[in-house]
Amino acid sequence: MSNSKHEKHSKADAQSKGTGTPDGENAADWEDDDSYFLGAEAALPPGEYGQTIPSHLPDPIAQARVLRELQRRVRSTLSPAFPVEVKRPLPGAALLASYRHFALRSRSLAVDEFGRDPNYCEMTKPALDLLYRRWLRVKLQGLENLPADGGAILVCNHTGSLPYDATMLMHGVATEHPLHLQVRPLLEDRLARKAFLGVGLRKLGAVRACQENATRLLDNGSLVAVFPEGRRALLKEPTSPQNLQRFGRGGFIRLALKTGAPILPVAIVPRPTRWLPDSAARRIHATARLALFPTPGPWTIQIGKPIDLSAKLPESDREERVLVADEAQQIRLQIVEMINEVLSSST
Amino acid sequence: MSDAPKPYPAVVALTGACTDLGLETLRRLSDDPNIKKLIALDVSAPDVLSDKVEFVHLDLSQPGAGMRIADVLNEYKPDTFVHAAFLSAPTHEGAWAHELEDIGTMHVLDACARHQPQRLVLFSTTLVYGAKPDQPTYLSEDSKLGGVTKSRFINDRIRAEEQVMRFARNHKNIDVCSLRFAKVLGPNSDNIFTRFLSRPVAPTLAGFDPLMQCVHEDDAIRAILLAIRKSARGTFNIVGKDVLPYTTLLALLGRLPLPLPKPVATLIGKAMWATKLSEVPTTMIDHLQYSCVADESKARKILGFEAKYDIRQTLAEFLGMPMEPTPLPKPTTTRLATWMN
Repeated sequence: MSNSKHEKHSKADAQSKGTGTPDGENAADWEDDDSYFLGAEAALPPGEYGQTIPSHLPDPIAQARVLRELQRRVRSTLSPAFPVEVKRPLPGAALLASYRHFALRSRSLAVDEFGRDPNYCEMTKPALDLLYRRWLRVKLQGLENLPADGGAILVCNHTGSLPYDATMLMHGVATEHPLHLQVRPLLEDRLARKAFLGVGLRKLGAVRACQENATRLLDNGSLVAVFPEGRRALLKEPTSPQNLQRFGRGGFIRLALKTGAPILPVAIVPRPTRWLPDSAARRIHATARLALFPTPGPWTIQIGKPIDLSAKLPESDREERVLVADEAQQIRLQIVEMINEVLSSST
Repeated sequence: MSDAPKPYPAVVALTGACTDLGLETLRRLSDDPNIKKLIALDVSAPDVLSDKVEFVHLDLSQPGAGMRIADVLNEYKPDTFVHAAFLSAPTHEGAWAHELEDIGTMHVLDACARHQPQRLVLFSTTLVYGAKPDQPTYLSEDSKLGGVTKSRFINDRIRAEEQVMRFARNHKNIDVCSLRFAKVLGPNSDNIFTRFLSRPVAPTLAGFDPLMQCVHEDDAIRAILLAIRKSARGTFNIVGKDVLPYTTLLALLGRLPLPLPKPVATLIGKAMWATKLSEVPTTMIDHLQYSCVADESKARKILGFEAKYDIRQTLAEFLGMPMEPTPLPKPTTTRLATWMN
């Protein structure tokens, strides 16, 4: 047996000397006999492996990544101790790939930092427009008071349970203002954490109300709408919108002082129902509230002149909580005045 | 507090040398000509081809680990200690995980208090903030570590972080830095998130769509190297660019969302965790309901860290198909300029 092997070797040697490649008959032997290569490898000086092959990969990091992947695959075949395949090929990969296209069709690939989804806004625009123009027939006044650049705080009164007022303000400014400014209403916790509603409002541009979020928005130069009445707005008599509730703890004043943003009082006035007896009006409003849908318009949204608090309240007085609360009260009275003006002009 | 700049790190000791981030850190540090020696501490030898790397066997879950680290510190005198020995995914062996993460950190800190390296770097995660409805959308480093109730995986990390914070207060001469990483994804990572996202179907909570944040593993490593080289102090959130809603993230990965009401999802999740069909415990279900997004501005200002990859690129790299960065919608402030032109 050993003899025959020697013969084979000598044969192969002869062939390599003569023609350079073995003929077809001996090719099989030539392939599986490892010892054949020993001579050829030894011909190279130790430590030298011929010319360096330039890599087609762009940078050392990519090279390292490819090497590591090769290493990982080799290791996983050598020992069962290593996890074989972390990223297994998924079953029905082609189907899932086409699903990916389908799922991404109506989605924005990029949302802004608070999750406003431009595609969702486009999709809901016709419905909001219908509500804005046909059902509530909103009259938006005082758009020229909005600063074109830089942040501002819009302080609004609240109507009803669901934030139709915030949505209409957002929609109105986005469609009627020549710059199509985005108003970002701050949502109270109870609404922001509601299933479906919270996510939908977030996609439209609403943000959970807290000082950190508001500061970040104002620093980025957004218009922030706050509704300091909060849930207490539900206690109001629907027939007298000018009876505003307490304005929170004056958080928006502190926000304005901290960021230096101007405050714009905004009056959102639903249709005055003076032509109905109060009891009937109350019943209509109660039914609408149960149905979670607003009573028909017309609504008036009046944006007031900007108030610069940092000029009004000197540095020394800013820690005085009484003065801060008083500022909030001043703005509340201003909004009441604006509402009364709108009501008297409409009759 | 020492104001003089610390010398460049020359000898680095690293626990958890076989973890994803630890191993890659070791590899990149071994390429650095200024670094003379690397001491890799773990239960098995790391896979690094370098003469600088010295492997020392250390099992942090054993009672004598503290003395063993002290011996190593005494012998090699490292100027930098990197503590990366944390689990990348929750385990059913809760008691062992507690010994490794919480008590292991105690051992490390005890040894460091005795032999005083110049810097100490800890790897943590933004999961320690927890996903709560009453948080601001962007969490700063000073936010409360709410964690997740009953989740051992997170609570051990929180305890480790608290120990390190206490250590930093008591040893002002040591530059203590902890890095909180968002979900680390990438071609080579293997952790709770990559396993969760590797399945064809992913659960979602009906009516909720939290914002998600990732960091590419390459960005994470660059942040670690920056923290080691710059001798940073304090805690830093290390996150990638940009956020995406969870369902969009699933759509980008081509995974089918399975919307379930929360009680049903909890029930199924518990059953799957108990039978080891799922690798994520139900205690972390809050992260599918509310956002847990961290603010990167401190890392940018102090560490000089700027993420290279945005979330879409990170996800594409995780899938193994690199892509170009997507342009973002323009912020409001530039609208005036575009309108006037």
